[in-house]
Amino acid sequence: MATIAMRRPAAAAARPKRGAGPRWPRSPQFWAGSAIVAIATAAALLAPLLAPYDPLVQDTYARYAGPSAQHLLGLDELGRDVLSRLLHGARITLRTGITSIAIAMPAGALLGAWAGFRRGWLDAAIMRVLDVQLAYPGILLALVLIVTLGASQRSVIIALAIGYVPYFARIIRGAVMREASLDYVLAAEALGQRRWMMLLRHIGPNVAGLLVVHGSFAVSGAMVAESSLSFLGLGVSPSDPSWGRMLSEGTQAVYIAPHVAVIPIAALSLVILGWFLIGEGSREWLDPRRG
Amino acid sequence: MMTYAVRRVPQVLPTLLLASMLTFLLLRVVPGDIADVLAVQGAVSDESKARIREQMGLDHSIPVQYVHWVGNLVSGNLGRSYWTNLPVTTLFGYAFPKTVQLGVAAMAVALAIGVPLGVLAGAFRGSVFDHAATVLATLMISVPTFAIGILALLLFAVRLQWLPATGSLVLPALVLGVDISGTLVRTLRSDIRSEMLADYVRTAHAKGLPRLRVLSRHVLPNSLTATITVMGLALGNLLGGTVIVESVFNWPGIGDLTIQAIRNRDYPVVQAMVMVMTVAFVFVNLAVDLIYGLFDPRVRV
Repeated sequence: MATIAMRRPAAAAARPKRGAGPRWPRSPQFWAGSAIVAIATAAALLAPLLAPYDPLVQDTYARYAGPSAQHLLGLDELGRDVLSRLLHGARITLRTGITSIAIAMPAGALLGAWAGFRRGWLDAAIMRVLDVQLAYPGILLALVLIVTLGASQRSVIIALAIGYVPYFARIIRGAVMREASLDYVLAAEALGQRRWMMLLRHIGPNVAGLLVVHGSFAVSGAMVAESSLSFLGLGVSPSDPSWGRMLSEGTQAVYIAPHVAVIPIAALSLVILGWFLIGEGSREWLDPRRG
Repeated sequence: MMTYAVRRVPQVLPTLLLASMLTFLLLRVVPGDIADVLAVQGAVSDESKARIREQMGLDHSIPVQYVHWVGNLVSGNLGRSYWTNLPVTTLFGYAFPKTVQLGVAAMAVALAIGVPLGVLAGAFRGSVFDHAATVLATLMISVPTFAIGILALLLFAVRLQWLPATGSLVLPALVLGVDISGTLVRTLRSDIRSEMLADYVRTAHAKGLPRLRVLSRHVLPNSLTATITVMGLALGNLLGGTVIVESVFNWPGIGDLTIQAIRNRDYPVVQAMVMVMTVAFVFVNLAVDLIYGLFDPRVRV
């Protein structure tokens, strides 16, 4: 980048040290995002209590019925209550997004930290493989994996987890390489600290912030991917009302009853936005010069 | 520059080789081949399944099949579709121009929306315009592409009836363009902001250069590196066909062709298309790297 020479000293000066800066993020983005995600999570956890109807029960005489007092968000193409499906769908959609990143993040971070710290041929080999995955059309890898494993929530989680490993590996590798060349790490090395201890004690905390930021971005990305796969008919199984599946089924009837597609789109977009805002807000908090 | 190019160009080879192996292997791991798909549809009996496999060369071991395939690939023979028996090159000949058409149109939309928004938001930091552009960009990124697609379809094709739901280039290009411009706005904005703080910008202002001229002649050229990368990645993805948007709008490009081929276990088509997508991505990024080397001497060392 053209500005590296200029940014470097500023970066060192503004690096958040423990005890400096606000303890909690002040940005409204972070709090707005957290509120959205918290509400969605609560809705997901309490779905069995909150949902007015069984999400799978059909009322075939009232297919595509619009919102009413009995059915606040109307009925879908099989006469199922959209609100109940939305609440139950939150469980599947959120769980898929969060679980896949909870697997990908530690795996990618370890791989990246190892590659960035050891360097040499091992680093080169890992990076070449990750390059392939970057160049490889991501959605296709997921599609083929899901066709192989059979369409289910587990397959989607595995495919997304594999897909997100390089994302974290790249970010952490870059950060570790940058930190490892900074004076305080070199000083610690000169004082005779063991290298892996250094990685853990000194570099670790400074890199952890990146995981918070990019973990949130990745969850929002994974939720987009999950709904895209469901949309293509290769997501979770038909009996699970994930938002992606609701949306995909709703799209078929978008001309007759737009609410069946528009409601899950709105819910999905809002929660994805929520995770994205958490990432944005915590980035500003951890790295003030970007604010 | 030449030495940099000579070093950078061969780096694409291992990527392409690994990608070709990965595709080949993944497809063969998928349970059920073309013979099974045909059998399920009642078109063939069990004994003719073996004959179909023999005809298609599927009775050989996977490494033998792979070597055979790569040999043909190098000589420009992409094989024939199992399904339609058309040469894959013919199918590609139909689909690729469609994908290029959509990709170029989407890129034009993205630049037309993204550049002015990004530059103005970056140049007038903290202004109402800056905040509005940031909110807009955040929304463009976080609402999934197909969701924008369905909403656009609902609004323009169903409610207003301005455009046909399928067959028109306008809606898919608009949807993809909006999606890409979100990233474009954010990248440009943040780079221009940090560039505005540079010493030479203050010098330029101090010596009385008009604001607009400082922006267009000094700040903008120096803020474009990250933007070129982002656009390169986007173009590489677009040329590989955009599976989702092509399927929402029934646009018969590479992405649509690939999805159908995956469903039909049409190996030659999937393999060829995945290679096309990988090659497009790798070469666009190679071009981006070489362009960097051309105008930023530090990259070359």
